[in-house]
Amino acid sequence: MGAIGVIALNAFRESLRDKILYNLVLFAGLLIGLSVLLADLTITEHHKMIADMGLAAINLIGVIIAIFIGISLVNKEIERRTIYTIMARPISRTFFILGKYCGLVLTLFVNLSIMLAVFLVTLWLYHVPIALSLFQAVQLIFVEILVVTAIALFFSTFSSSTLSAILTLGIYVIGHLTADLRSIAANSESGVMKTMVDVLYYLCPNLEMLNIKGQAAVGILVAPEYLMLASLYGMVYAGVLLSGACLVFQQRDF
Amino acid sequence: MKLAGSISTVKRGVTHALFGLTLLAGASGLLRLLDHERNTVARAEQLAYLPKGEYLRLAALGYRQVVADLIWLQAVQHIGAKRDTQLGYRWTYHAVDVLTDLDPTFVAPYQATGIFLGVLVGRHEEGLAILSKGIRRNPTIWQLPFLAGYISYYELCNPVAGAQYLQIAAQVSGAPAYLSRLAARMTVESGDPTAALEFLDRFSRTVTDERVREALMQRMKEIVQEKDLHFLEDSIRRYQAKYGRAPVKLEDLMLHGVVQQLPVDPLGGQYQIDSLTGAVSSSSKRERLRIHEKVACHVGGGDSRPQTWSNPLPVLQ
Repeated sequence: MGAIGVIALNAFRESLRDKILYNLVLFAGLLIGLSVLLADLTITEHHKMIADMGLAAINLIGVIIAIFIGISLVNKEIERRTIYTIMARPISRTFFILGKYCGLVLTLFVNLSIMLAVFLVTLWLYHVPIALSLFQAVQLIFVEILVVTAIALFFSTFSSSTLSAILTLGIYVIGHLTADLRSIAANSESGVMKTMVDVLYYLCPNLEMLNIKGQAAVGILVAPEYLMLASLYGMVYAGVLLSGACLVFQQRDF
Repeated sequence: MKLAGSISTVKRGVTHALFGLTLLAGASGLLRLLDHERNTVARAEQLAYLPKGEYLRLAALGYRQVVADLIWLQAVQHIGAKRDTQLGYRWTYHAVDVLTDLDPTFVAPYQATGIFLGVLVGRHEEGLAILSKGIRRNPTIWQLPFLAGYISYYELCNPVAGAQYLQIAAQVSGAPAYLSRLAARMTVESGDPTAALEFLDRFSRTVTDERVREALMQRMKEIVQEKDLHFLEDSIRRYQAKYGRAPVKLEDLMLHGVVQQLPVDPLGGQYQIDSLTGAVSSSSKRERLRIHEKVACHVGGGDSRPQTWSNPLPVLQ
């Protein structure tokens, strides 16, 4: 196993020790509890609402874990001073960052898989049809989580945990608004404004492109080409952020 | 010494626990008082403060559907409430307008609000507005123009608009074949309660939710009752023309051969006659349905029912 694999496995074990998977109990309780409530409260289409709630819970919990673990991955090593021991070994800083990232991605993948399983069981219990579109939505949620993790890791290489969390959350919010901002700016008279918003549009991640929860909940499939392109976009963007994180981390003094 | 220390620790623990429990009981008591204070209007006000859908869309980020679901859960409480206020209805409309901006493909709110506002509580324009929005955003759902057609035709007495909506519904792929026939019938029989019953019966068969179906069934019974009252009034007029006075009791109509059989109130009450004025009422409903006036726009009237369709109530009751 290469250096990246060792660091990744270590980061995965560490997050398990931090009892990250406990959130799954919260998820299961939340989802099943809400489903019971919804089945009784709503007029028609409680199937759609259960699917909506489940996908939103998977997404939200995934993003929260990505942000809060992503920002602490590097900072924890620095605060505990274990970074010096690692840096003293023949491991490049790039491998260290990539290893940490892969470890967190593995944690999130396990987390997401269990949440998906709980979600599917809930759907089955409430006789909600399990459409292929739900799997498509979860795939893009995972890609979104990859991007958010990369954003958190990037900020954590040069700022404190609190600041990294705020910045990541900020980018997450902007990432869901760029398309709307662009359509608002399209009505503006000012060319400068349009150019600025255009620059912002291409610079910031467009996370709305990875959001197909609405149509997935009602069973509408997206084209495989779209799914592939959106996944590729997310991974390329995460790659850009990881390159940036490696570059910044190279410059730091340890 | 050690024992005294332990007792003191336990005492302190118990005191803290009792203090905490007292505070919790106090908070629960206050909450109960607050619950009491908050009446239906106050609850409906929550919906009034919802920002416009275009702004809420931005704030909801990637969770628009869930926010729409949560607003719908709030609005449903008013739709399901037995007693509500006109203000509450208006805010329900606002809430559904906002949530359908967030999730335009969420069909249930258009349908349920259309039935609630447009049919059950008499806010036809708002019911039609929400249905029109649904038709624009979901052109593949034939039930929405079908319901809009019913409201235009029967509740608003506008057969031209009703027929247009039904034509839209008929053009949707997978729509039932009887829609075109209904649309044609509409143009010649404005406000006919029999046609209204057929509408509601057809529509209730497409509704999956038991509560919505029950509401529609109730409406159908009210229409049947109104039709019966109309029929009895007509018979009393004929009785008066023949005998120069109103009958003392409804059975007189049957005894003198004016009617063959007296109708049975579908809402479980008794039909009564005021022998002085000749007015008929039902013990099950204090006020007559608004469609009483709607029947005035009925051209055909009478007791004639088309042979191709029979009243579903005895079967479905």
